[in-house]
Amino acid sequence: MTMNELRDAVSGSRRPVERGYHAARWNEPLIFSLGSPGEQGIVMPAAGSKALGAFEGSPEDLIQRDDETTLPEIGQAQVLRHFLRLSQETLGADLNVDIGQGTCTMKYSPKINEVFVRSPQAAELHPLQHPSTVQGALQIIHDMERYVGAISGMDAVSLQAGAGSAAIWGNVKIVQAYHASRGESDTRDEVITTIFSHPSNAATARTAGYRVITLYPGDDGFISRQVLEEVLSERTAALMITNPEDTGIFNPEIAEIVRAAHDAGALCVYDQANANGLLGITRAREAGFDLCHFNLHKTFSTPHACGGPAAGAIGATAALEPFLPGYRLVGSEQEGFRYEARGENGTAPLRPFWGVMPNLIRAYAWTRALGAEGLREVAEVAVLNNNYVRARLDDVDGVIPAYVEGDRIALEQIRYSWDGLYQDTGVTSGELGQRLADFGMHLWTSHHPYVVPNPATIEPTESYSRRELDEYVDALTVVAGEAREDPGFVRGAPYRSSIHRLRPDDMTDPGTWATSWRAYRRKYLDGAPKVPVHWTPSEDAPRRERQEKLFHR
Amino acid sequence: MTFRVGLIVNPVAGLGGEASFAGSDGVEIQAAAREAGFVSNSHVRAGRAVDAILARVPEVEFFTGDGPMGADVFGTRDARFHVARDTLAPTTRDDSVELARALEGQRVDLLIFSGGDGTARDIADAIADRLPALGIPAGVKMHSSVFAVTPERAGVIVASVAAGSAAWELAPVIDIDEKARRAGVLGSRLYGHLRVPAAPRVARQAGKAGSQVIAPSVIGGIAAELQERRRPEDALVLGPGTTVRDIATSLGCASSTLLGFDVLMPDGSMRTNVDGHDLDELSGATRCQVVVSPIGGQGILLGRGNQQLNETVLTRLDPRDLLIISSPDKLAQFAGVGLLVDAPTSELNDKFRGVARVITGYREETAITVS
Repeated sequence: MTMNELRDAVSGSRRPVERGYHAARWNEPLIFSLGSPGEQGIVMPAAGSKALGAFEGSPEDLIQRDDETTLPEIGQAQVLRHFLRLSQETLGADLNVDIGQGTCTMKYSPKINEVFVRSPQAAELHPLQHPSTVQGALQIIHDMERYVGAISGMDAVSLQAGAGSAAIWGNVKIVQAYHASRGESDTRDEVITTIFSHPSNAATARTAGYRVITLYPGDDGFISRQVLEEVLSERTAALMITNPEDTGIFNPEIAEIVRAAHDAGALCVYDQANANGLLGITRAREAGFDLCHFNLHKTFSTPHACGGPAAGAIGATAALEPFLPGYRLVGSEQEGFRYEARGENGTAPLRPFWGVMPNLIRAYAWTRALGAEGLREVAEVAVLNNNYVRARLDDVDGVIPAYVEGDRIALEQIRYSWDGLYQDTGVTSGELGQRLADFGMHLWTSHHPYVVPNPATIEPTESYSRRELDEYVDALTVVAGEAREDPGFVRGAPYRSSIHRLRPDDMTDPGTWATSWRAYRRKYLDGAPKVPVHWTPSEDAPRRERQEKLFHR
Repeated sequence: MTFRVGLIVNPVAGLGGEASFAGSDGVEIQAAAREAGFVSNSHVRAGRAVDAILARVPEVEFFTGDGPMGADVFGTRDARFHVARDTLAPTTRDDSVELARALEGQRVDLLIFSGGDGTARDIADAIADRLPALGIPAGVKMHSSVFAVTPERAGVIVASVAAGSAAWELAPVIDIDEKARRAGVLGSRLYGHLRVPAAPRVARQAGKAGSQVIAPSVIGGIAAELQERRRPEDALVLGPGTTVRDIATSLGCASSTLLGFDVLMPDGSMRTNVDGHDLDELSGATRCQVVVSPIGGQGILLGRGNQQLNETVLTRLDPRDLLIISSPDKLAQFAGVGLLVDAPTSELNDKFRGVARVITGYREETAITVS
């Protein structure tokens, strides 16, 4: 379909739904303030003396608490009501048209896959079970490794990572181990990445001790191969790059870029967070990458779940397979699956045991339900939906798709610039997002620093209906119009949300935030909670340079 | 039809730059700069622009002032020019205004002027937006969006206008209160607008004078990196701007000249508010590392706010010893076009062009083009 055909399709008539949305607002206290002494959710019958006696000296006896818990004393219905109310105040992926959370690929997490995850066969698994008792789970991991291998073209896969950033970290450690094995740890101390790659690329490289050099795009939104070649040297350990980047445009020179990095002796690491428009169409392998990773909670539909639990997949060439983290899954359906040690070049496990099993099950089920043809269709529909939204936004004044002029096609997402509207009205893209919350919708701007001025990144994915895409764009159009009529009104939003405004400082200062009840008691109430026992290493253990742990708890 | 270009040279523009006076407004300041042995480069820069124009539009006809206000530029050049107005030395800003009016009367197609914000104000007073105009950067302060990045680029722009490009935009003319600035207070005012060619490289949107607050963690990171890069046996020259000032504090310097240059000497002592001559002497006696930050909203690394880095100093300086620092947020606005340089000569421009690695944190750099 050409852009013109798409534009013609856009101008068909449709009636926007007037929803009069208002978020639930409960001003719900913490559960610790609800309930009352003696209130109980479940009445347990007291154990008889014979039963108690049977436990003496048992492992259960050893871990029995000596003192009372500080859990709230509260009934079942009250617990239900409390959490239901909190959930009503959450603008989550199941509830709203979440295409405004670009780069995150907010596609539908099929609820049918929860049936698999909640079945006793999955829910009652223990990672230390004997392999002969978990062959089904191991087969799922094994097959999922093959699917990721087929999608990426890579020879070996690890599904151990508990997040995308963990997988990126895993790749950085593989790079480090590879160069160490060649005696080049000292000379190769630089990693090159781009400003449009996810911040975790630079962050993991820095954490591993590398000097990080970030490339900026040229006027066309692409990093320039000339600039890259100036920066590549015998000090470069790796190039970490995303393609398409968060701008949604595919760099046609990617193979040449990889070749240039290889010529300098560097490895190429492909952040495939933005794989949703590529499935079945192009692969890391053909571009020459050595390593890649996928976010299973993005492309592969596992729930985002407010920052986790997630799952990441690492893909590696055969040459780098010995450096993958943790254990290697071997075997077959006939001879049985088991884990074996990977060898002395294996890098440290990314987490305990084998992987985030519930998410591997979900990703596996999603992949099998679609098959190769279905995956290809996912990519095509995601790209189509993105360009549909773009065609509709072409009619809105003050917004342009960054780096996507005229007939240039973006893939699965676009970073828009609302700078035109800002110049006219003084309303920023962030403020547009605040007002959009009054329509039950979300708009994400961009990672910092903002290269595209007044950014907003929209990624429709394949999951939303045309009616839903229209509804989102209609709401955005209304808000942009409001910004022209009454900028102050837009800037004072939201008005119909569960709360009015958060003060960002409260949530970014470790001194004031409290991520647990224990921390809250310590910082704000007078309770003097016990400091949890911390393990202290023995005197002769290797000394590790590490920052004083920020004591949240 | 021959293309008619009006040229006004402000003969005192730029005097206060190398002299570290932060501007050239006022007879006393100009006299003080001259006494200290500094000269204005306004003619030289105007000449470079004229050469760039003649190379592309040989049949252009110039209209200008006499002697120091323009005719002197054409002395050795093979160009057609007419003097539109005579003046008596010493010339003042009124002469610029009157000359601009005279050139308007001569119906020039475009008026170019060599100077800074002060000169731009004078031109705007005279012609407002009635006549298209373009600034050749020769002043100390050039925050207005009316200047080409370099004199050569001015020539390229004039040539494209001569070739028929008719896209214009109204560019704000901004100036800073110099007295307040010398006292360390930064603040700019909008004085009017000039109609300038809407060519991509006319100038960036003039940012507000003074940068945003930078997070302490960023300052700490950049300072830590500079500590490692520093060669203790050499001099560390610290340029102007709030970013460098914040770093200087982190490096343990007791004070720092916001709008000028300080030097951290190998023996640990500080020399404050040094001028171009001081840097000449210093760079002749010892190796120097120079810390600069892109100035304001324009992304110009050399030639804006740091003219103390004169031809001699920059000729001696190894580009790898030019340590560029910036917070990532501030640098992001220059993505796409990259940073720019307007050094004293076009050879020096070529020397510092290429791909620069800007220090944005501890063991963190950003590669950006400098053109």
